[in-house]
Amino acid sequence: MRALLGDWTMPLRRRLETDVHPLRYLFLEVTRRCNLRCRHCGSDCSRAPVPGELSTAEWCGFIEGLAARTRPRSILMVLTGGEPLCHPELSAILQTVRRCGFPWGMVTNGWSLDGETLGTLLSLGLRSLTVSLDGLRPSHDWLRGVAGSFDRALAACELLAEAGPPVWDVVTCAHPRNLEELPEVHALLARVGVPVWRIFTIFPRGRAATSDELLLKAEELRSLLDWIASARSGAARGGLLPSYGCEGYLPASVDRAVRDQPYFCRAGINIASVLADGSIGACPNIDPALIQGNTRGDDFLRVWEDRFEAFRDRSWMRTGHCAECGEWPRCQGNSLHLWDTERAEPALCHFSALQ
Amino acid sequence: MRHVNRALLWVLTATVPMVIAACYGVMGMFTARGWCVDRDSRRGIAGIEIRARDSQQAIRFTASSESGGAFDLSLDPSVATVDFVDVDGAENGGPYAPRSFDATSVPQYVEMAPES
Repeated sequence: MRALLGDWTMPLRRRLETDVHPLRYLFLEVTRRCNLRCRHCGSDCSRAPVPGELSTAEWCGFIEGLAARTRPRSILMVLTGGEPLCHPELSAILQTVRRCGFPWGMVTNGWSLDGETLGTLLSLGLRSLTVSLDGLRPSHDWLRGVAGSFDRALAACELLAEAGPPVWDVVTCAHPRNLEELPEVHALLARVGVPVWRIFTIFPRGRAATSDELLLKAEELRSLLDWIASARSGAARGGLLPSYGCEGYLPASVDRAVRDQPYFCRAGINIASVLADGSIGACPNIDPALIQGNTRGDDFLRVWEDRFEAFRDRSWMRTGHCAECGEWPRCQGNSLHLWDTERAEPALCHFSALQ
Repeated sequence: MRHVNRALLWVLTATVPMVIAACYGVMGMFTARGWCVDRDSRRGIAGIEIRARDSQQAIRFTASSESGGAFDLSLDPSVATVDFVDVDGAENGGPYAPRSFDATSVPQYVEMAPES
């Protein structure tokens, strides 16, 4: 009943949330350093420190300044990267986040998540954690570019199943090489005790922009969504339900079959990010052309309130194949991270791929 | 107009909370908003302690209803139940009996009845 009510009220909610745009979810890309070499990295990370990143003092100053002018408990801070655990002074940043009263979570590849590290994170108030696991051992290690990364990610999941934070889940990037093994991954994650599993598709950004072997073709996307729908409908009560990530507008019947909640791209509406160099944007992987400011020279909250117009009024995106599309009122140009500035249209249209 | 929309959104969110989980981010939060009211007089009750508990019954955080009885909670998916407890006795019209709700089903009006 509640789900039906959610569907029915979604157009109104979208309109109201866009107008009010309460900030609920703030990505902090604390570093672009990473210990893996993922073929699909949307941030184009590296092992070496990246010049120009915010210092620990700058991060702490930003967090304290934000806390002084907001209700911290209403904003979830999400540490991402790079790999956040590669930041040498992560604890100092997290102590500030905790002291200021922000709930926080982290996305990790799991490589460095041993018992001691997890204990430290929990003691600093970790509320929600996401581990990336992209298939069985060969396909995960191939995608992540480092042998042994699957074993580390799986070990992290096992650790979390025993002593994890209140909320944790696994995300998997589906690509042509792991598509067939998703049922096996499903069984593995259920056996380990993973509570929530979200599946994403790789999109043409960062290193994946030039790698066709990572991108699903239309029939592969259909096959993926069919499988998710089938796995969800066949799952035992209380069993692990795969779901398709929030990216991509889908036909309503498919959307309801593969997701817990209806599609709504909240980038710039409830979601903002501060990137490693201080850039202010919405979700971290959105086209750099849509950066709205920088914490080094701009007041973040003023930017959030006064700019971000391109995220809240998306009529400028009604070009290219969106111009005549009848789905526009519900889709509004697909998820913003898929927007291709050069082509002036979404790099990927899930809806038409499924027709 | 924005004030009207803010109020409408407030009511909508109180009725149908939603989880925010951004692309490739962690599982996010949902909100529960409403008023603590006296069951009989419908008067708002300030000072009701609100305790958000996880499935192991550990308290994740506490908050209080504000003047007029309003509350505005941001809950992450770990919060399983939300308790409303009168902690100030006769002050604010009590004492009231405690109430408890599933985190996703906190009503817009939490009716507090006198403690028997």
